[in-house]
Amino acid sequence: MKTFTIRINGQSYPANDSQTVAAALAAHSGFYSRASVCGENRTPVCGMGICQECRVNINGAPHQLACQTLCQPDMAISNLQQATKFDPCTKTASEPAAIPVPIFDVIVIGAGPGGQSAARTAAAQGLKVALVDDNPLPGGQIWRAAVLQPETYPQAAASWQQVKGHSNVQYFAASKVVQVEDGSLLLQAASGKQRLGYQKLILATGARELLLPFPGWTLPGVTGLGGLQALVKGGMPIAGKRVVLAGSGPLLLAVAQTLRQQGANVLCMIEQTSLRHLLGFGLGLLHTPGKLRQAISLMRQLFGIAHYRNSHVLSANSGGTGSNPARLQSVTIQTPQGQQTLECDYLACGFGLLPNTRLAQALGCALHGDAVQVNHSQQSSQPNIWCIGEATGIGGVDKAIIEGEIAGLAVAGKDVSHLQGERARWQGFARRLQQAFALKPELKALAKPDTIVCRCEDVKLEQINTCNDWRSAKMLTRCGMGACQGQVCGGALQQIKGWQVDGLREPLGPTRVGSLLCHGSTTRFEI
Amino acid sequence: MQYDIIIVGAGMLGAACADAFARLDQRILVLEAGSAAGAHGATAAGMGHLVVMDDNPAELALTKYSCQLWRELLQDNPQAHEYSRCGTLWVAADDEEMQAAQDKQKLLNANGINAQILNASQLYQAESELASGLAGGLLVPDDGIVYAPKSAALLMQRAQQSGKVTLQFDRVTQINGNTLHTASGTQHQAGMILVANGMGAASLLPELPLRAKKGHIAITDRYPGFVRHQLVELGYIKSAHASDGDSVAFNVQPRFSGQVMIGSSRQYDKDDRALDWDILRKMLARTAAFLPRIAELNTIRCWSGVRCASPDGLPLLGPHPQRNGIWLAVGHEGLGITTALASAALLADRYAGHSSAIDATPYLPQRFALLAAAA
Repeated sequence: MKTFTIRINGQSYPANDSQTVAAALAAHSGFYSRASVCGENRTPVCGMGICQECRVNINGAPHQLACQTLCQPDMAISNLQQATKFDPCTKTASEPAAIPVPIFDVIVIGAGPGGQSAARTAAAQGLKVALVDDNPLPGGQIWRAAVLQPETYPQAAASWQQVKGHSNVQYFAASKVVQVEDGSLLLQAASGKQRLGYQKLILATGARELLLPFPGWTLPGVTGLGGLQALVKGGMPIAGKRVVLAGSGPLLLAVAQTLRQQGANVLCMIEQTSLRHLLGFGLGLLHTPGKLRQAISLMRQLFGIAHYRNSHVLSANSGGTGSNPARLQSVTIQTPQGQQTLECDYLACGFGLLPNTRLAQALGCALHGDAVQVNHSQQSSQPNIWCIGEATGIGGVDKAIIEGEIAGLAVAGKDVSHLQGERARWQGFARRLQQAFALKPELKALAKPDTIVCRCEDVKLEQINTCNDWRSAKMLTRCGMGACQGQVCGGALQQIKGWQVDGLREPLGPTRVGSLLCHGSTTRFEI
Repeated sequence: MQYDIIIVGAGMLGAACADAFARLDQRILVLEAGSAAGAHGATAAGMGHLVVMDDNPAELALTKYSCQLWRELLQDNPQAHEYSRCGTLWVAADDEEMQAAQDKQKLLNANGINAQILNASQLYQAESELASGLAGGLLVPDDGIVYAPKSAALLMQRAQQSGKVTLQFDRVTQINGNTLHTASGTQHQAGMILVANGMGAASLLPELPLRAKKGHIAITDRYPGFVRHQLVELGYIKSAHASDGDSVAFNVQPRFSGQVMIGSSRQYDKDDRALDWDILRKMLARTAAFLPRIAELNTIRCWSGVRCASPDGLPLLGPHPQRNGIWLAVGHEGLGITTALASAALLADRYAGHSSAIDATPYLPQRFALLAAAA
């Protein structure tokens, strides 16, 4: 690990090369990243490059994602103000319009547990593999930054060692797929762009959190549940901070464990599901003994932390009138016994996981419900595209790994019948997960009329209520027109209003004009 | 319910007409195929510029008149329309285009429109991000930009406040005589049917000489001050009036939000909404040729839309020469937002038997022999 100095708003601070810019902001300057459209201070929420709240200026370039960028020596970071001008000192190299396109046998999108499993399996079959991930380090979400702590995460470390052991795997870090065309993918990286050609694709795009609006959810200090875990794994200091965790499912326990390990003072866990459903789920773990052992171990480690069931957050509160600038001071929760207000430094609140299907949809893959539809070989409705892991249904790391192995064999034309038994076991786990932790209807009605629903454009619920569908809400209130491309507010409105959120178009994420205007040259080459 | 007028389409044209005819105390039904006024069609896809265009006297008269009407309308609540009076800066790349700028200035000034020549150094003072080596430009400071979906929605709201206008969300599928059939299975009749739904009119009235001209737009995240005026290359005119083929022209706008909106492309007879990456890339490359550092800006959204073009570049405003009771307000190509208010005013004046502020003859549908001959 290299240590060096960076500058935040002109002041020098120590940093290291495994720390994200978001973590550095949290460590040194109150965490705040940008000023919103209506002037609120915002801090990172999702920790994984989706919500766009962590946009800052880095080295003169605005709209850089702090949670997805690792600190580098002499980096100059400043808050993104409303009137931030494009820095005249920024140099632009002239960009070639045509770039050569290397062609791979298979491109695996996503270097989490599933993508790693797919990549090393396909590579072991002799295929030329590209492994692409938009994070600077491999591991996806559940194994985020695990490569930095191999003793703590031996399974993750071993998996990555295996991937690296194959010389026929080329790894593209910090690269986001933003556009697809004619058997090639356009990747946007902080440093530039790349076009990759492929014969086959394996999508391991994982999941993101469902974030639902409630009064105070935009306050600095309120993050997603997985979002706080991602930020802490990126080096954000949490030792000694009072944290309230709220949401649903095993993630709640997993995040509590991570935070405790990092020295946080976890005040309580607020689970929306009932005890009956939890016990039912616990019983169901008998089908997956490994998971049962994990659960028992977790519960032992978390002994002593208050655990509320059938409970949810009502509001996040800033201080009294003296609070300048406004920051989270306390959380009001609803339990079966009544309401309670707890003082805390952080509220990490997430309402379950949503499969990341935008890339699959852009490629023309059919969905089944909100997940990508696949057959028993993980093949999608597009004959040359496979999909695995959370994107095909939320089921955790074990499901992703077995499905990655199946897809890695399937793309090489190998038989996968011997793996179907284990696949079925984890599909069952996924089903039990969904049934146990289904969202209660109360959670869809937490927002008040003056609660902001679209965080990018600061659009309130009362404005959105004047419209009948997603499209007119977007056109007439600006909801969904911001940098997150409706991923946060669209997910929320799908739950709250039952709206069909359609109209997906590329680019799949903010993309530099210079990247979009380049095409693949006619020189395509086999690597 | 008996209606005097049925308007097909609640985009900018339909909304402007509803508003104008409501003031004539007429009972009006507006039928919109989409889910909200202003949220669909070319109104929702375009750049919303309010610009005087001088390629021929009739175009100049219509755009000048309409821009005046817009400035009057926008006095009340400019922010609701996201109005920006940023002006248009026509950029001259070389001496030939500079000459064209001089000619344009003379013509505009002679017609009472404020226009100033900028030499090269004044051009770069006005817009520091422009590429080096340009010759100068022409600034038309009274041009502006609105967010068309909101403007259309606000006009429709005002029309509805009169108590004379009913808005229904129902697609018109057929026009037989003065009977309309809709997708919900309803039929409507009225003495006057005003068709204002852009390319949608082509399937309802196949004899109309309308052609689709597809366009693309990219919009960036917020970079306030990157550009300060609407910027258009003087070569735009060649693109807008090409009679065939694909073309792109440099055209960017600073939006009210601080985002930069990037156009423009034209492709004949394409009416699908899929993104055409070849032409989008060409459009972005042309933009970067004039604004090199735009390559560094983040695009957050790209989309396409379909303009409705007529053979001579002027809209069809007025009675259909053959179909009794059918009136037209279509064929505005890239000037639908600019000329919507004047279009509505001319139509309302004709309906009421008033004299209009400008001569409406050049826009009458009967000018097309095609139409006059159609049964």
